[in-house]
Amino acid sequence: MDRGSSTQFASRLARGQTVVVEGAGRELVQNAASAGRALMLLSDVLGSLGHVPRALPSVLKQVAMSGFGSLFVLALIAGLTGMIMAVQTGAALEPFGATSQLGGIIAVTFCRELGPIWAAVIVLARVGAAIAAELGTMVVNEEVDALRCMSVDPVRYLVLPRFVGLIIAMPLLAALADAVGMAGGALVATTMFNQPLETYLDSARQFLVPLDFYSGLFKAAVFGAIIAIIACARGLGTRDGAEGVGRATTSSVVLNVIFVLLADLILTWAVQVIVKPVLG
Amino acid sequence: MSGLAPRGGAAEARPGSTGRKWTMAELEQGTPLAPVPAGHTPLIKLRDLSRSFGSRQVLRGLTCDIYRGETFVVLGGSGSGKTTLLRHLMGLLQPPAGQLRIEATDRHPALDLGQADQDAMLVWRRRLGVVFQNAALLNSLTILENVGLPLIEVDRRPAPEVHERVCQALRKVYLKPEDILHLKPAELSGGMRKRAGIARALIHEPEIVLYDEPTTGLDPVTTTGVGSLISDLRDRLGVTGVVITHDLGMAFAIADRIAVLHRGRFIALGTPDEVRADENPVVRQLLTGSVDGPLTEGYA
Ligand SMILES: Nc1ncnc2c1ncn2[C@@H]1O[C@H](COP(=O)(O)OP(=O)(O)OP(=O)(O)O)[C@@H](O)[C@H]1O
Ligand SMILES: [Mg+2]
Repeated sequence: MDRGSSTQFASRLARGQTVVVEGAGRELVQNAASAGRALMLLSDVLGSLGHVPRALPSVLKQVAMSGFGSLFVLALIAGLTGMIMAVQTGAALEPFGATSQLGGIIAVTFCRELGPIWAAVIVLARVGAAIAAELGTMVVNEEVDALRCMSVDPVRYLVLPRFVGLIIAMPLLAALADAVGMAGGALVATTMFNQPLETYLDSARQFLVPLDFYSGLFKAAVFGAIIAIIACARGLGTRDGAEGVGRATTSSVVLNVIFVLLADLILTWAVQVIVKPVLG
Repeated sequence: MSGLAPRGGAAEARPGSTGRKWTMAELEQGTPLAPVPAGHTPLIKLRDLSRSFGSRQVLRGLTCDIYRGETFVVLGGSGSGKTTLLRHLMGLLQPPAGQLRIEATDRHPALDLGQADQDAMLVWRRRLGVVFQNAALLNSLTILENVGLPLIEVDRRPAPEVHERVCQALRKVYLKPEDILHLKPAELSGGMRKRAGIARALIHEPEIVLYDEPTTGLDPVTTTGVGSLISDLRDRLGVTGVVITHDLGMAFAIADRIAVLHRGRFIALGTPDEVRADENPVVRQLLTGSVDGPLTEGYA
């Protein structure tokens, strides 16, 4: 490479870096702005909860769309994860002759953590992204402006059903993931480690307390609320046409992953450190 | 068209004029506020309405009255700010206080759109019907649900009444309800969507209707039909109409007054005859559609 072309290369590289840094900065600012918008939207949607009875048909539609649509993938993933966990844990327990404890370990892990989190991951990727894209397209097509002009509140009409719908659908999906994950674990325990099904179930019953199960469902409901709010805020905040819809969709997924995990950390801490000691 | 000058060079002398060349400032000079003629009451008052997007000034001081019960047509080149003006009237863009006022009527108090709170805005929008430039129907709803939306969501009318009134509204814009009621907007042609958008704007019998290019994309027959629908609403129900259009034939046929928007100002405003006789070369170029004139100067 001669001198001329190497300086040219260096300057192009520098320009490239500027673009990358600029892009990253812009994305950061945009994401911070959408997080702020999401908080405002949350307060608006909480204020419109009184309209839920009227919005019931669209709420049920959302439950059906997000719930049934995610059933198969979620069951598949939960079942596989249950099996993988059983293989891994079983292999570790076998030298100690403790494979009879498999049921308990898998049941507790799924109910407390994996069920709600898998449900959240599937829903934020499938439903959250779809919500952001749908609302973003509506903004671009001036459909949201048209609603406003007709005195129809977009929060009540568009956000509320999605919000309530996901809060209802998520615990149902988490419970399903719990059940299928445990079933996957049972399959491995009975076939690979020759545990009778009775032993597996006994162990599950022994380890699992109701708090594990219900706190998991509660977490799932909170994740549902987060996913709906972030996806709606990002969709409604769409600018700049079709390109903006793409950006809204991507960033709703990214923001949702971050905020769902943050919420998971906080809620798990709260359950283990505050709620559990109180309940004894 | 009578009274129009033959095509000439850019801002050249025309018959009847003094032969002087128009300066840029004169070309963009806004019309002063005209006294209200007897028998008219102002409903919408624009006072130096301005709007910039970033460093770009789109509206640069619009001043005029829109009278109750008149059809007010706005002409202007593409990008001159016509839709932006309508978005202020819809309350989607908020002007500074005092620039856009709605006068009191016997049923509603006066309103400053720059200071209106949310409740006042809801009441104002309930009085409005809006035809969007691109129809803006909701893609997830059928035509029945779309056109009936104001009745279903805001007025909460029973389903049979909604059905009945949607059918009536569709027939007014020459659409056959039985063919399209249960289709989604994506299954309609552009012109059909546009007409469904007009039906939706009129269904709740608004007092004021804002039309953003209501006939763009329609065939000549339905265009005439929509034009007479607009006039009919004014004559029968006293509906105030603000119509943006590029269709000069329709503009002159339906307008009580015409305003010409150019670079953010009304450079001509008056009855169709007054506007036709206007000497501003920009107005003349818009009305003749000539490619020689100040609007196209400096290109190519
Ligand atoms: N939200 C916005 N942000 C930035 N610029 C805008 C915005 N809305 C409109 N503009 C600019 O304002 C100008 C006027 O736009 P407007 O849509 O009012 O034009 P118009 O007169 O309706 O044109 P057309 O006849 O093509 O519909 C355009 O130059 C447009 O780029
Ligand atoms: Mg426009």
